[in-house]
Amino acid sequence: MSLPSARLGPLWTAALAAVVLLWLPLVVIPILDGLLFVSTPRELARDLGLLWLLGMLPAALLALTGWLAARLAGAAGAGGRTRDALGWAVALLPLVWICTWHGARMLWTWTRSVAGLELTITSGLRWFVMGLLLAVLALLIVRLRPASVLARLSGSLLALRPAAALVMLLALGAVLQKPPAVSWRVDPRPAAVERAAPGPRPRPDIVLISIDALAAADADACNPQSVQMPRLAALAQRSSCFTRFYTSSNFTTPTASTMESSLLPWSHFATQPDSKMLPAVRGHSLAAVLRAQGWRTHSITDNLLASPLHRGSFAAWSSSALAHTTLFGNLFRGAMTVFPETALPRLTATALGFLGAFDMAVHGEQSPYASERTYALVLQRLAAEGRSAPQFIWAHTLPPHSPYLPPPSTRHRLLPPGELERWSDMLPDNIEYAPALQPLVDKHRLRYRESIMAADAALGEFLDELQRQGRLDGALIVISADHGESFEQGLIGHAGPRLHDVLIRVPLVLKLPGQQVGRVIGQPVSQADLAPTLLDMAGAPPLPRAEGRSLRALLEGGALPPAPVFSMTMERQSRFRPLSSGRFAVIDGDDKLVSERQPGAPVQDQLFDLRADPGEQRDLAAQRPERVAALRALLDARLGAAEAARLAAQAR
Amino acid sequence: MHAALPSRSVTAALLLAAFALLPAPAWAYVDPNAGGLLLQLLAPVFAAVVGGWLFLRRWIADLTRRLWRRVTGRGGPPEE
Repeated sequence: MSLPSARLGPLWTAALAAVVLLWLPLVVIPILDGLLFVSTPRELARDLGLLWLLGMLPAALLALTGWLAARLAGAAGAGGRTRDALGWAVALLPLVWICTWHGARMLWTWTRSVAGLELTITSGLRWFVMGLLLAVLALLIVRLRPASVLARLSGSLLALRPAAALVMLLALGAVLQKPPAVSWRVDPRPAAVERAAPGPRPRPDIVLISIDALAAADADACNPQSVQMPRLAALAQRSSCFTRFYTSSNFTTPTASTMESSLLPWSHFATQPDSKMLPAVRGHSLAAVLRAQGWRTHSITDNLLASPLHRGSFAAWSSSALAHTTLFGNLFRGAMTVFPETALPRLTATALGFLGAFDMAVHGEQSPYASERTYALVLQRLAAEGRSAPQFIWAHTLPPHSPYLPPPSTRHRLLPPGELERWSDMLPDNIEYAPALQPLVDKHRLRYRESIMAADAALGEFLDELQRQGRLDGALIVISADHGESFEQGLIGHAGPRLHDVLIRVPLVLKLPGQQVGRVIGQPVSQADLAPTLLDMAGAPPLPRAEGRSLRALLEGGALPPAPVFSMTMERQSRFRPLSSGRFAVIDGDDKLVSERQPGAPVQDQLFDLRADPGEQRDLAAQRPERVAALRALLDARLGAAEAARLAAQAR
Repeated sequence: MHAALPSRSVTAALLLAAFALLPAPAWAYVDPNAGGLLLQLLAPVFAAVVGGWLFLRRWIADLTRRLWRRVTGRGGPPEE
């Protein structure tokens, strides 16, 4: 079989056939179950159609590159056969590699799912296998005739042209049956729209800062002698500092959605990493109420999962900005938020997953994230808005989120040089680890704490700048986190099914306008309380379906009746099926019930006494069955209410 | 299949190496729903379709050509 001429047309059609018939199916099949948990079939067909249509872009890029390579080779005097071989190689070999990568990923996922295998790939193993792969490739090059392989490959792909055309037509139809909304980052409506709404009393600026993956135990924010966060501790000295503030879940998507809506995950259903809030509750948000009351509302974050652009609630915000990270993969993922109601960001991130290795190698010792970039955007936004309307800013910053690569200013303060210096030295995050790895995990925690120190320094500089501009004292300032971070109980990172203390207890420092006297509050409170509290203190009407309550009484030095706090992880729960899968924590006083629910399996409960056993090592469920029954009844009642609301929303 | 194509052992080694080379998604979350029922069903089906195309393409083309000739009485579509 001879090699076709490396003209643009054949190159593009062959590349397109590879993209739409091999690459994209390999991307989508492993995550199809999860996509159907959060999207209706029509939405999913639209999103996949869009992905397939976008597949024309990489095909065109590769074809163009191959064609240019062939032309350049021709101009340099290469013969026709060499020129064609070069053109086809440049166009198709990257796709061969990508399809091999995704094919291997699918094989690995499939094997794990049917055999229940788990394997932690350490960096040592990765380098060993990389060497092995290079050796195999060298062997292949020696043994094979590349032109012959290219000829067969191009011939096979060109033969698939009709199938590729049919798939593209289907994709176009799927998109046209439900065209996606398009959103640009900044609402073009002028600030005058918000200014027109009169406020009943002076309206303060509200600055809510959430620091990603910041565990209360590691931040130590209420301690005036805090080593990790002295700047936050200084602010806490003139604020209300909560020592038992619990998040609604253990990773960003559900917890950011709770901060925004005061709804728990069983109500907003943003329960998977890339899922969105239920359409019926996307307008049920702190930002929507404040905006209606005359505030300008701005979301600025470097974590896409925290952005309203990614969770469906973008309409409530005057502007939504994504701060820059140096991750190459994030470029494409962020760009896809131009379709904010689709799964495109997630699909794009999965399709380009192979860039993760590239990013890891390129970054070396440097973290891709820097809090300063987010704070710089906040200051730019404040400068652009001026002082004619009150501002509500929600800034969410990634550090100290993994990789734990603090800048030189704080690196080596806790862990000496020579270990865990590069991204590739780190254990993968969000994984279970064996007890033998605990000493290594403890070292990760030291680098994590150094990253907290850097995040604190950036926060301090930002607060200093607000002070210089005269915007700090009169503002309502909130510093908190979306979730914690674990280096214990066999889990490094966050997410997954666990709900132990370091994952869900985070700092909450809340400074009222003009506040100078600090207080420490030890009563358990919920992340769902945040939005009702801010609305109450701003003099705005409450959210009608809030699952939290205002903490005003505590902020003003009074008392608030105790109330149970709920946290949960429901990553395997479809929003279209009855609530039956997840792990739920109920914290009531010193007791914590952890209840595991799976379809067809008996409920498994654990009970911990957080005062006597803060590390949650001793399960007291067998000794205190009456307490278990009481907390379980509380949980069942709330689950029942959430299921009724879900059914009602579905019926609408 | 053809002498010029990689032997099965080399192909298997290549796939295994790439398989183990998967970088851990250190900056992203592992999809918690990966490995559901649809994957378990669709992955082998997709592998069979692709494998069938790769290994039986010539046979399928010959069959199509013969059918075309029988129906139309003319020569089939040109070979790729």
